[in-house]
Amino acid sequence: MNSNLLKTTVFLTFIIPFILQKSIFPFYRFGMFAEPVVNQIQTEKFEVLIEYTKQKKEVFNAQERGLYESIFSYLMRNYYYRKQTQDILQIAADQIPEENIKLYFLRYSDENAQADTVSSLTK
Amino acid sequence: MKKARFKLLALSVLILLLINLILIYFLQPIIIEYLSDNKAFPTINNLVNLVYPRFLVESQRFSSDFFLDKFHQIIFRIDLVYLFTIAAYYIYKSKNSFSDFLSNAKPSSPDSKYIQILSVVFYVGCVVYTYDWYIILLQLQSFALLYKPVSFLNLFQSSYPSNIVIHIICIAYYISLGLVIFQKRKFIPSIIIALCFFYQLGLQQSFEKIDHTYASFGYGVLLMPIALYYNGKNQKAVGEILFLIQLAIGLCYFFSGLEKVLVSGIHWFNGDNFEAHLRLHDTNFKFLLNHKWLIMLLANCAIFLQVFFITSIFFKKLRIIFISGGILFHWGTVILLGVGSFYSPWIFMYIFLLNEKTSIFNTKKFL
Repeated sequence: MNSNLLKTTVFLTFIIPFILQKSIFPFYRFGMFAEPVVNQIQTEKFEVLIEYTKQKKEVFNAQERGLYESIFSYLMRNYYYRKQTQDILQIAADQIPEENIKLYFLRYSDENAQADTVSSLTK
Repeated sequence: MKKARFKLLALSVLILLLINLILIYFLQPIIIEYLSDNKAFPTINNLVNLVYPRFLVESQRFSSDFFLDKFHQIIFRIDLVYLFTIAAYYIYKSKNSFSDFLSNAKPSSPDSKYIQILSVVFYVGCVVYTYDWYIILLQLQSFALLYKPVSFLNLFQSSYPSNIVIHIICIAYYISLGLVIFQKRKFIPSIIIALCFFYQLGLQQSFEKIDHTYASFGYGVLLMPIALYYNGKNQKAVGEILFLIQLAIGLCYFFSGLEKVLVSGIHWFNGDNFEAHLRLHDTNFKFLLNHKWLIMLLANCAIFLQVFFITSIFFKKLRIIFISGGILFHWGTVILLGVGSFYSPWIFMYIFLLNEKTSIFNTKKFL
């Protein structure tokens, strides 16, 4: 067994993501909780709201449909900045069996702020 | 001999200076120009998309300074790694005591029955930690349109796999786990386990977000096949692999701590960052926000544990302290921030740090 080659390879799996500041799956950059939380942009929140009737509204729960909530939050943020919120609404709409509903993509600039409606979709 | 070493050292420093000059004087102006108007460079855009796919989103969220800081961090990190490597090489070559110290830290030649039990415990852990992946992967099909394959998965397919593929992978994975756990076959099934494990994990991480839950666990999955291959044939080689797994665990913590120090620096030491995370996360411990000194103490304990955990790999007497600290650290993130779980795979990986004489590995008791 060439143990030096193996050792070097294992070290490189840490060093390369560390230098490039980028995970190269299955090897990671260990930047969790490293970035300073200094600006408002990191405290904003997004959600998809389903309106069945004027009285019955519900927040879309991705976790119940197999996608971790943290991943869905992250995706909502990415799609918002790519100006593709309609795509997210369409995917959410496809998951819901009910017809005649309306979906809203909402953005909260921070925890206590009022929601801004970014886009909506009628199914 | 000393003169030759000095010449080599001078040459190394000169190369480093040259790398820095090229990066600062040639590459930086191009980056600045690109950041000011990236639409003007369609060819570079393709390259950037390939190596830094998050740029499209991040360029909307952050100013040019953010990316320049990242670039300077890259230069700084190249210097850091380069200087550290030169220093380690010189110490290794010139001090016999250092190389002796390194070889003493390795588990010399572990008993083959101990490795047998360790592998069974580890692969039972695989079953416990991944039993629901099959359901998750099938459920994720509903979100197939959001699928963006990570690294090597990009080579196989651009769309989310079909039901049949998921079934085949999962069946192969569980059969292989069964074979290794019941000691019917070892090497080939452990390779299949590693391939299926990373394929399944890769699928779950192909939704634009990387999750570190299985970071240290992955090194166990990756290196155990080699240990199983040599077990019973070459115990010294098995010892080397075991040491590499231990080192990988230590390095996972070390780089987590180092990133915090390099990226946030003072904001982590003075507790600002931890305070901000406490505000952002849904937790019952918001009252801590009224005790800045306690926040500062917890943040510094976390950094200390992460940076110095690796010392316990070399100084075995420290292991019990760092293992206990590590368990408290992971439970702390669950209790205070609601992140992770009480039975985190990071904690499970401590089985590789336990002494082979520890009661659960007491081979006489089991075999």
